[in-house]
Amino acid sequence: MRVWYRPWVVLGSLIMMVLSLISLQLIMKGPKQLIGFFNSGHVKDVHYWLAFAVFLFLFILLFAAGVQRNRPKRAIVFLTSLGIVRILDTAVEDLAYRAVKRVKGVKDAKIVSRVEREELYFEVNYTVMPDINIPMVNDEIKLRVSEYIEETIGQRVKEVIPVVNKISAEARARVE
Amino acid sequence: MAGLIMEKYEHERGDSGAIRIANEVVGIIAGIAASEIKGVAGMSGGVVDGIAELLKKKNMSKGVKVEVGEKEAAVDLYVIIEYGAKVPDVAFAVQENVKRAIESMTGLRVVEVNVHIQGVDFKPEEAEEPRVR
Repeated sequence: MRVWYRPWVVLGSLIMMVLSLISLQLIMKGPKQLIGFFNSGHVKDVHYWLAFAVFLFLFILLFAAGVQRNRPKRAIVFLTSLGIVRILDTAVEDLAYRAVKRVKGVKDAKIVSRVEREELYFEVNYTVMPDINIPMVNDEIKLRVSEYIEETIGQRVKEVIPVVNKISAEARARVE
Repeated sequence: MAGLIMEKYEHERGDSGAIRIANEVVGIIAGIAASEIKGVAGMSGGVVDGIAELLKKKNMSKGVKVEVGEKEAAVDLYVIIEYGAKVPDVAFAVQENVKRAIESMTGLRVVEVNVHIQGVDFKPEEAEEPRVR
């Protein structure tokens, strides 16, 4: 949306709000009956209710569209002969998450990625299973994430920082 | 081949008026061409595409944005890839296939095919590994 459309959209939303209030006013037949109306338990004038609902919905929709900010999504971008390829960081984080989940001893993880000078950095916050050697898990996470991301995305992974957030209370599986 | 088609296109244009191809048509061609590539799980559309898909049977131009001129076209594709696929390879294959499809079917010259990878699709069997075998 163009910047100068926004004030118009917000203005439109406010008009919708006024219309919705007028509809509500018509339903109530005056502000004094407001409390009494809700207590009475019966609803008359369905078309006013409908108008109120439609205008209120449009107000919310337009107001949200007018005030929301389109933040640029972070992405890895590379050029090919036919155009650009953008990989959203959420996609990269999903891939890294899957690689981390395959490491034995990791119960759950949350990945945060960033790109600097065409190199990727990952912070892996994870929950570890009990009775697991954490340094070994850390090393495996670093290796798996680097290998998998470099293989699938073709971008160099500069650093993977594993952080143990929690130790799972759940007991390890006793059977294989 | 593309040159020949372009020549024919120009010829027809000169003889009996201009041929204009709707954005929707180019979008559908691009959407189908992109979906053909192995490693593409689907296209990622916005709210409007989702509503359109609810109303229509299938929205083939979902996740496709096109700019069509008289002779040239530029395409943006919003793609979800399959887990395990190599992203640069899939993206390049999508670009090539979309360009080829549009050029051969419409005679338009494709100047740009931008691929936006929006997410990764994990198959259900990949979802959770059982703790015990």
